[in-house]
Amino acid sequence: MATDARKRFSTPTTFVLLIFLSIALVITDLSGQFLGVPRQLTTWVTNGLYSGINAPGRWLTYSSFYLQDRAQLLESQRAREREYQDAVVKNRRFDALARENSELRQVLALVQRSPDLELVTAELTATVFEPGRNEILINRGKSHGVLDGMAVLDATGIYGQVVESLAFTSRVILITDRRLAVPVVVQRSGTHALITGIGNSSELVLEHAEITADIENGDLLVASGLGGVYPHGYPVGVVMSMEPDASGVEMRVMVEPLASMHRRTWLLVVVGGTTSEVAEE
Amino acid sequence: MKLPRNNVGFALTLVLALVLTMLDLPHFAPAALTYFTPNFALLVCYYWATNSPTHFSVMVAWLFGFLFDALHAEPFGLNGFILCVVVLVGLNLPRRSNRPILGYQLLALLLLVIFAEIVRLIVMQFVEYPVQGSIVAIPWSIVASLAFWFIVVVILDRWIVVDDSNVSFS
Repeated sequence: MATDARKRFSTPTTFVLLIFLSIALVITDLSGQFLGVPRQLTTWVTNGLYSGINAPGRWLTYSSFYLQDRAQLLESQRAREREYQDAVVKNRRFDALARENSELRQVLALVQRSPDLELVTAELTATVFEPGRNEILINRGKSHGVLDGMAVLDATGIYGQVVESLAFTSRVILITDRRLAVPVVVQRSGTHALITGIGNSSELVLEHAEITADIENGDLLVASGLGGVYPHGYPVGVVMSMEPDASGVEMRVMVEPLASMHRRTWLLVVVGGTTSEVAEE
Repeated sequence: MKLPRNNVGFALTLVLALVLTMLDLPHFAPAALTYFTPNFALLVCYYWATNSPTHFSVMVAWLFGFLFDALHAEPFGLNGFILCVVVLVGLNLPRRSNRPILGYQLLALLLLVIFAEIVRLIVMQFVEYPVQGSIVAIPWSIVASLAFWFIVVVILDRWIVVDDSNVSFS
């Protein structure tokens, strides 16, 4: 029965025929003359099979590459963020240097504009942060010629007054402090007045201004030079608002200081020639 | 999964061999592993010829050889010729209790794998000369085929083939 089965499926004749057919096909194909079309068809079919069979593996490969790339991108992004933060810090340092440079230029310009004033450049070393006290410390003292009562300027306006001079440092009270008064004159009308601080770094008040006084919003107040402390004609502030007080006799005039309170690093101490006029910019 | 010992079962296992032949190595696998590629078609045909001689038709093997020719871009008839010889040898192996004798089976397999590689090399000399990489790959391919033979036997014996002990050869 086994022999019958073998004969049924794989007879010797079948073997011989298939082997000869195979050899004939090989020779024919090698000659390259007759099997071009079957070759194209089978290639087309096997290419499709190849693509289909390898599609999942290829998809997995691409997915793994994608995930790997994403991880790399995330790492790269973190590195860029770190670099960005470093660059921001550097940029802020450059900004600070640029501001300081600009401030120094302004101070230098002020010194050059005021040949009659004897000025000493000072650097802010500390700020006193206490309610009602607007004071700073500067790195110039008696050894630099800085004495008590001397005026302190910045590049844009009167800043304050030295109240305590030590050997190498000085304590300066700002014009925004309640304890300091600055004699001023309205540049437009020549009206004299006295302004004091109210403890607010952005506001001064003009004391005892009569309601009929020739003062208007926007008027520039400059130092009058009375008392010989502040240089005559040096800007102090600009009138912001005016309103009559309860008595109806006087006005409450609010003034914006022109000096940049708490925003300056470089200051000038007037150590001489305070009565001379300062050229206006 | 159980497959019957008929042309459907043969075809499915040969298709599986075809798929394994066509599968690319994963991208993380070393490139040298491409040399270590078993001749899946030969192994499957040899298995069926030795283990199911009454059912396996040489015509099925020859037709699949045609497919493998197309797949490998080899001359038509080359793999058909090789698989015909494989089936012929497999059918005529010495048997004991209706099972091929293991020693003869392994020896025949070794000779057949070497034969297949040599025939392919000779024929491919006419297609491309020198044959790209084949000389280097031949020993590794033979080793891979022999190593994979045991996997083929285990899988087909235990997991796929329906037990046909009721078939009588007497």
